[in-house]
Amino acid sequence: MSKRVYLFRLWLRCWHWLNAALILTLITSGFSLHYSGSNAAVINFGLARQIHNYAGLTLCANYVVFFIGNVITGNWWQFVPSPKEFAKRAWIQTRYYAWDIFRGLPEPFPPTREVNFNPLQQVTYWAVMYLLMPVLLASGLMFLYPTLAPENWFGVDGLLPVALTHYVAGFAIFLFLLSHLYLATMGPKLSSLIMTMITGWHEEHE
Amino acid sequence: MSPSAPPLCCEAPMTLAKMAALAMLGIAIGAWSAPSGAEEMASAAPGADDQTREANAQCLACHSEAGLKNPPRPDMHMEGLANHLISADRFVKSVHGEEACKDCHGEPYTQYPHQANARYQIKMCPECHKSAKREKVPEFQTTLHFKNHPYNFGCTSCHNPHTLQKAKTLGSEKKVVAQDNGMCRDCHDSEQRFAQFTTRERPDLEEAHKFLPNPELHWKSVRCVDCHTPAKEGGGTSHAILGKDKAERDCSVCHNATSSLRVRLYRHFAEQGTFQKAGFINTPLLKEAYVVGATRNTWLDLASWILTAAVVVGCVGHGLARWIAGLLRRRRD
Repeated sequence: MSKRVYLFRLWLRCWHWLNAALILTLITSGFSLHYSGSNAAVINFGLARQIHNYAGLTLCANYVVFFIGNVITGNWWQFVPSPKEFAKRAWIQTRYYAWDIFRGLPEPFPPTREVNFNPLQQVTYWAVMYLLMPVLLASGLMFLYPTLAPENWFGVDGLLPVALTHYVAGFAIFLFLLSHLYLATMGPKLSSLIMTMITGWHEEHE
Repeated sequence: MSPSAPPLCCEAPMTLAKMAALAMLGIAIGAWSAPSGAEEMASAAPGADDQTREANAQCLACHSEAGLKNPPRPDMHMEGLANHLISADRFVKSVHGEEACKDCHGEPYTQYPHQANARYQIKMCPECHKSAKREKVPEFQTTLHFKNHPYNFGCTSCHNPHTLQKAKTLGSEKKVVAQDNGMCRDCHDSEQRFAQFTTRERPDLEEAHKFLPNPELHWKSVRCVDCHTPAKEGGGTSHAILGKDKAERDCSVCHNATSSLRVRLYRHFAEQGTFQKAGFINTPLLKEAYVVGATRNTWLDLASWILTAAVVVGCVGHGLARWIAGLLRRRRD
């Protein structure tokens, strides 16, 4: 019988799935806005704008929940890579993904209650949640309230740098989502890690 | 000036004594000339000839702030004059800045007192603007402006002939937008002006445009007519102003790579063929406004899709390799 460990509390799981739903909504509506008039625009511009605005504001609120929840529960440390031998541990984890996983070797840093994520996950989640998300949300809010943006930026409309920043940050999150979805298949069974995020219990490789 | 405009300053009764005094004054000064201050006032655009300049200076000697302060004649109808002042600065920059006042107002206005029926000899716009007669007048006649007010709503109700500037002389699209939207908002945002045409309650502009995100920002960046006129074959702006029921409500008409702004507000850039620079589509729009969907950067888009393809190929390849390695391990075991 495999060993089980309780990793994610209810509030964190609720936050995660709401975040996932919002990100998917924002990606779909965001693409529809960016590629308006083309085949990539699956939602009409006017509707996509409304969806994107409401989902974006909800994502902001959800980020506040994430931030406060992490501060209160002390969970914020989970997303900060420990500097102790970080390069060495990151290399071991990289080698695992690149080679050892094909040999059927066990994970070098299996999740525990104390440390939920491996070094590569930690540094990625840290960058996504503490760098990319604030940039994405701040640029999105500036887009929503364009008077906050500078009037002019090197001879072009001041919204241009805001738009480019929002697009780059949004696309980086989209790429993260793709790899995140793939990594979610790396449990003992294809559905194991997804079940972990539903139940909170992590099932270790036998 | 609209046909219903009050008559010019020629209706004050004049006694014989006054006329005699004026004749004496005329002899004394040799000729009717501009007051001292008005000599420095520009009276026509730089391209105008000396005759035009001189003739306009005579009109502006009275029909200007300076003329009102220092009337060149003692017998003038000051109340009437106060309602017929022209800003010389704005006039010389206007589309008619090279024209002589009399070209439109006619010879009867070159004499003072102006003849009582002079106003009926003011030229109608299509007399010079031939294309207006062919295209714009029929378009205008389909509008509620014309249908509801056939006798008191004409070209000059919107287009002030003394101040209207050509788009290219304004220097930026935002200024074009400000000028053009000013024409609409002068009435549609003013209880007083609106009431001059109708007893109907003036619709609140904000309320009527509440479907639009940031209406004020839109009104600073696009012209009312960009949505409130039908698309015209070959570009340009139709004069068939559409009411709210028929006006454009599909955002993607402008928010699109082939934005209709290319053949409307920004059409002169399309003529120059300068619509793509440094990967940005519709580059001229960027100077004035970032328009979602219409000003994206194709290089950045391409880079994004290459990265996406790399991530997808990486994930699928890694997954396949895992599956094959698992199969091989199970066979071996």
